[in-house]
Amino acid sequence: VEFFFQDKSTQAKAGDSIAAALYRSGRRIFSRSFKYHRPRGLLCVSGNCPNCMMNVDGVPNVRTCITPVREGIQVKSQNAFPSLETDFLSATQHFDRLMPVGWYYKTFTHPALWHAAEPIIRKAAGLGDVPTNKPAAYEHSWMYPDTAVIGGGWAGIHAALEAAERGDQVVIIDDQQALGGQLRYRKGAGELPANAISKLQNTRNVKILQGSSCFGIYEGNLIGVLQPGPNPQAAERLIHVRARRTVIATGAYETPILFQNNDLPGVMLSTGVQRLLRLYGVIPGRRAVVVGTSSLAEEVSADLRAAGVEVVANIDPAEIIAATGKGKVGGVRASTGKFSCDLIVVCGPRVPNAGLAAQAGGRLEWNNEGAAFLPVGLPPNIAAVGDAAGEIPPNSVSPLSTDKRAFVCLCSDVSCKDLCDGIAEGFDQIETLKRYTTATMGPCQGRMCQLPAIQVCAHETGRSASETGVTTSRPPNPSVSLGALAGPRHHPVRRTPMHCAHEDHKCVWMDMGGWKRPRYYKGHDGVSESESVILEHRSVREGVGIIDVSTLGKIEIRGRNAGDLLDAVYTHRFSDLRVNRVRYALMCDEGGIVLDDGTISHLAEDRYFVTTTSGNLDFVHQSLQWHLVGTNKDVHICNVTAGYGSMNLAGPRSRDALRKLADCDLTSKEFPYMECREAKVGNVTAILLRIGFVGETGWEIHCPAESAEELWHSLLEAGKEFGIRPFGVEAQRLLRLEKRHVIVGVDTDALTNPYEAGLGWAVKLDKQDFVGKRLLSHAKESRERERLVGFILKESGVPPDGAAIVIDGKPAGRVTSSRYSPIQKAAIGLAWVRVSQAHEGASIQVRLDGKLAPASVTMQPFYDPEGLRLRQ
Amino acid sequence: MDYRFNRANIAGVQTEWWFHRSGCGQWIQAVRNTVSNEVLESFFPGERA
Repeated sequence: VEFFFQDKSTQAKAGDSIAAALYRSGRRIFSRSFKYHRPRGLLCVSGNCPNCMMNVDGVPNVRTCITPVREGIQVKSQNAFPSLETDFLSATQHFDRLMPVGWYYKTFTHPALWHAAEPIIRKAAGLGDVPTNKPAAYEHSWMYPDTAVIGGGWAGIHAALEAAERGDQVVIIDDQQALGGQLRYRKGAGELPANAISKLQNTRNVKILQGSSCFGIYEGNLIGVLQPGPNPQAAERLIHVRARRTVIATGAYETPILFQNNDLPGVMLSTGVQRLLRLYGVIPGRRAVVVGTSSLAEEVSADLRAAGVEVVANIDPAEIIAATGKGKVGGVRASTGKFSCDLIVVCGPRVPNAGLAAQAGGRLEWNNEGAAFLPVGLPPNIAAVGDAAGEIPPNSVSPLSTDKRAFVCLCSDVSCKDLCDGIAEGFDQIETLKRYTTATMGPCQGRMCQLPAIQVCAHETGRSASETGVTTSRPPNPSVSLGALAGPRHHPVRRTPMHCAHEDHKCVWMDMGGWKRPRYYKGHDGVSESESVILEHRSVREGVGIIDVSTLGKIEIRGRNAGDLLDAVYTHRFSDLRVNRVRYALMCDEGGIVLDDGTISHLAEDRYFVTTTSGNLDFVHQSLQWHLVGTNKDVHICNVTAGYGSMNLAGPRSRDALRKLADCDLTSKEFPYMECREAKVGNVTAILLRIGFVGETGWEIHCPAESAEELWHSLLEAGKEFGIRPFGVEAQRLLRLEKRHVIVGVDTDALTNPYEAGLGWAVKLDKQDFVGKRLLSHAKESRERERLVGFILKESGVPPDGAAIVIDGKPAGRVTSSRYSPIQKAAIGLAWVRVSQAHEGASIQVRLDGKLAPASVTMQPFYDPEGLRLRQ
Repeated sequence: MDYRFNRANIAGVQTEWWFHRSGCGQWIQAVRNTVSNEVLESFFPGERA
């Protein structure tokens, strides 16, 4: 296999990890440290330490020691300039005196200092660069097994077999490249259970997620699993595993011990050495010193000798003082003498990998015999087994070094001395020490440094490890890319029944709360937006226009007590609404804040038809239901939004057009403004509401969705002789603005009460209790602070939404909507101003293109203030 | 004001309203311990006195 490191071709064997291939090719320095830019080499070879992180195909911080080589990948180093071997910024380590523990807190005591230093520090310190190339594709999937086993070592294999034999659906999540855990690379741990593994692989009710890591256990036994490269189309797949039972068999990992220069390339954990030897056939060095006296040290010594590595010495952890050498290991200085070598093999303490157990609801308790924190108090459906539960050989307590080059935390260069200084400064609790020094907070998630940090803290404060306690383990563990969490970029789109008709009319789409709506129609001539809006506007004001309003929320309410329910939820009174009448409906919250508006039509004695704004439908539906539950009222609520297609036919000639199709009398005498009928329009039975959002004679027509497109075409045909034209949201916005009709959520916000918005007429405080009554009564009595007013700009230009209103040089309000009105031949709009300016003719200034434009306030609609046209 | 803006915010057992939003659209009530997140009981509103 061929791949590229720093653009140079590098050979690898099939099955190699990236780091193993680089090590075989002679590379010893794999990264530069976070703060001091010290050279770092392979340490754990198991994805637990931060030392091998590189950029792979543009993705930063990839743990190359566990990432398999793929043909042609581009691997690059991070945080090093000009190269890993020679990094100029490594000079910073000689100035460590200037950067004591808590350096940020002590140095940047003023924001200006930090702003000056930030760009330099951001460049000097840190991890990889955020990728700017095309984002990769990510997938999500879900699994619901009876038993989930996390970890594919001997404990996990046996737990999975047992569950599978019981008949459970089993999922095994293993972050290694094959099942077997430490048996794959430790001869001393026993034989690989080949029979058990092949049995698992051939059992139908067992699913093995190989090379996938579990990054967290969440509420309700939800396990987050990250699977890299599930298929050629996706970079990563996030699997939501919700299991009845979970077995945590995550094993144990080895941690470093503390001595001077314990981070030098060439210092390697014993399991790291074994992995290189057995998994990849890489000879880690020529002359090795093994630090450790346990049987594990004998085991790794034997492995090394078998591979032809000379074991120069086997020394006790208490004897080692320092690793020597420049840039890589050249020897060992110990109390018993000096040894020359190119590899220091550290048999460090084995730490149960119990972070997931702690996340799942367990506690970590210090166990004196094992010298380790073990999980206890797990919930009944979660168990920890094997090494993770503490079935490990007892650790000898490693000696402490207070040297400033004895690193506890490799991720952010925190030494023993830094921890001691932090404690001396008063941060003597493990959780505060963690936050102050940032030990255990780096990419390794504390795996390498948690135990040493606790031991240092316990030693310095004279407490036991048990009293010192353990830092909290939180997901994600290990890290997860944000793209995987965000998942596939699906944008479900709602289309109205007339979608294709709009497309035929060459509309320009806009997205509104999940819906696609025509913004304007550019037509076959391809007119511009402003031209098109003028044409659409004119057809409504002078002839007839039609707009698709299917996105309105529609709710049908039936039953004897329907009127009572509406009285309790809406501010207006509906129980006295006569059949065939329509009334404006305003909904407030308990605080008297405007939430939603629409219309309510009384179609029959026990039947109301409610419309809501598109975005608030779900909320309105929910709150209507909430008021109903448990009351035994005779009311049925049905969300019929998708069942009806809706259109608004408006303009002085709309009656002439509709008359050709509708089988009811449309004269204002028989069908006056604010009334409703059920009638046949052509072949279609529809609900007709005579209302006028755009301020002209018009009907809102709701018909069964399957007939809506047909009705749309029939109406266009019927209106042809009157110059009918479909109009879009932009024209509608302009038309309603000329009438000063408010759009809830555009012209109102989370502080708007109906009185200030000029909607006080829709609040009936003299009826029985309803939502918001108490605070609305209060608001009516209180002095208003602001009012929503109309304004006409006296100069050319249109202020953007949100533009500031300025009075006497001070901001005194804001524009909520503004458009150029062909009727007024000027920009008009709605704005919030102080009550003192809320009177006819008041002069205000609007910020426009960095200048102040004069405008005058109006409390009247800009068009047809008496509302004669919509009653015609 | 108290009614509108202040909540008891019990650390312990309280009766809550839940809405099955992406499912059946029903309101239910649950007696839940807000500390342990243990749901002790759930029922339809009006089912219990």
